[in-house]
Amino acid sequence: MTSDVDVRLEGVTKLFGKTAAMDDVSFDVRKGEFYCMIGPSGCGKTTALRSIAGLIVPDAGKIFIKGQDMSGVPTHKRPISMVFQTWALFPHMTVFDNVAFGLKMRGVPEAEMKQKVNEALGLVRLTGLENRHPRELSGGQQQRVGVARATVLHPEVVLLDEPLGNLDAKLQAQMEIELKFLHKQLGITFIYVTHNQGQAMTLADRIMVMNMGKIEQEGPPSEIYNSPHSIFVARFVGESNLVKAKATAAKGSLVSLESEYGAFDGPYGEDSKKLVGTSVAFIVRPERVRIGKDAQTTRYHLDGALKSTVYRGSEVTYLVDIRGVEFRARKQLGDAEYEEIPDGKPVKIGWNVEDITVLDKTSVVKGYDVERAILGA
Amino acid sequence: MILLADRPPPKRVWDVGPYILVLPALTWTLIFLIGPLVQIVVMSFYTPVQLSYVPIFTLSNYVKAFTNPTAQASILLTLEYSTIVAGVSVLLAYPVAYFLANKIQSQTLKTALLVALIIPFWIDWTIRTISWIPMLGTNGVLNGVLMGLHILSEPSPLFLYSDFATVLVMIQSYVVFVIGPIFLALAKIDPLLYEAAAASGANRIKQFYHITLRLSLPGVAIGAAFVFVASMGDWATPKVIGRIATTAGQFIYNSQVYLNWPFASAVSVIITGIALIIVIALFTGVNLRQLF
Repeated sequence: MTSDVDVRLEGVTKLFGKTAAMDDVSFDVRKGEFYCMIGPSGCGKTTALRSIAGLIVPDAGKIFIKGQDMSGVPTHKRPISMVFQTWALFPHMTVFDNVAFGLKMRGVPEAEMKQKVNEALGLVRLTGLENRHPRELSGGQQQRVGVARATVLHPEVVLLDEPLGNLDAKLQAQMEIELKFLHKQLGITFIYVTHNQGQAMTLADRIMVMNMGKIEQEGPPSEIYNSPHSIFVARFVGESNLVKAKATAAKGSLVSLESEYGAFDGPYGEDSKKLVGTSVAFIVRPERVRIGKDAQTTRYHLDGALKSTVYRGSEVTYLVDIRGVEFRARKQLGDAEYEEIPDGKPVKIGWNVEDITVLDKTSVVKGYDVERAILGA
Repeated sequence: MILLADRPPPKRVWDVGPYILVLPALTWTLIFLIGPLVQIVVMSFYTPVQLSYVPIFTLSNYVKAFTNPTAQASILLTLEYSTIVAGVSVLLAYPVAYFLANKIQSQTLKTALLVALIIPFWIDWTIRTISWIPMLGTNGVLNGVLMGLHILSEPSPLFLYSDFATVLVMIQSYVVFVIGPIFLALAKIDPLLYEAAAASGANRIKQFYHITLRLSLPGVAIGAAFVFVASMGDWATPKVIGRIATTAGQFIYNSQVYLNWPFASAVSVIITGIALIIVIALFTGVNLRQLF
């Protein structure tokens, strides 16, 4: 095991009744990394986190923290700390005592404890609120106490279970930036669970996408977004226009795709030959779809009618109806001019070869129907 | 929560409805509780004369209560009983409440067990108390069992008409009133707190001490206060099943039998005052607000 691995899961399986919350899951988290586990609810991400914490005992497999096998090691003896979605602050203790709790458990001397608590409270900008009780704090402040309580211990790993899930959107965005900054300052490994893929994109050094107890894909946010391995990942992370197609021929690293919207060439890789004759799908991200005048110069064009426009100031999203299916085209409005198109007006959209991502499987889970799971169809 | 500050304070509208609803209970309390209490306090400052009293202010009743050895002994005995009964009741009730709150998962079973706790109260107090006599007497069940096991060679007279009997029967009567508040306090504790404590390095014992026990203290205080006050005022149990001794209640009763109303009132006020001080001490010692 290399020394830069902080947490390792090896073939971890956990059954709840007959369903596997985790099905032979293995992954490594590197030292100092901000590692995000994302996926729909019930995918097993929280089970994975709680297994690392020792709050759940896996049915099979091993968990290592810093190379040490954690089998049989109770939570309070693991080099971890945890931040909870509902914060789980001790209601009968002041902010100071909440943060000092872990240090007290470890028998840290009074003077050192005081200094460490003040430092931790300073980092989460709560200096001056030491003597308040949790019920006298706002949601954002309570969560900061939760974060301080976990980070003050300087554990090997901080486990965060949807810590921003109970905050409103604006506070979430602010706390995301603070968490990222805090992580950088402390240099501790963070393992973070969320169902909010946008949050994962903002925070993570690496993202792990889980689905039905299995790992769909693992990698840096840009890789997850730009090179999804499956339709599931493509649909779960970010928005996408999905087109079903048949691979008809291979031309070098390109593969020819036959769809109800016409023929396209999509990049795939050297082994594109293996796809020939199979059913595949491809996605085009909304920001890769050109519209109106911009679509005149693209390699491929589709004709449709504008369904509606979502204007957000910094960007605009056009919802275009192409033969009954909605396509999305997004345009950043910086220097670009906002082209107002009346609803119902015929409009052209288009994209180029490099805007296409070919996907040859729906999910790592066999027989998984991504359409049914995502669209509820 | 921040947003609350932005909201204008809700307009207070005078609504007589709730006040009308509380009126019957309020009237009842005023006439039958507050009134007599005031009467007792006033009476305690009157001057006793042979088999009667005159409404002349005096402190002599209090001086007598604090100097009369029988009065002192009766107050101390009552305090002793109440302290032991409250203490033992808490010790007995806590594990039961803990078991009910944390170990019984099924809500149906939980409700059933809570109902079962009040089954003894379906039996009248007198019957319940007198039933202890054949249990504890010299020819009673307890002596029989202990002799059968050769722990005792002859029946012990100490089980009945003794301090033991008084305390035992009082505990039996009041313990359920401690289980309730402790159970409610324990059931309110967010189980995530234990996980948070464990993730901060607290083992099971430390979790119990820092989380469970601390957060259940309001329940303990309410239960203990209830039993303490009830035991202090329990006049009948020691009389029916205890040894020949004078508790504060009996002392007050005896005084008013001789029609010394002012002296009986003074001892009553002292007993009520002691109970009040102990209840206030119990409630300020723990943060009752945790319960609401």
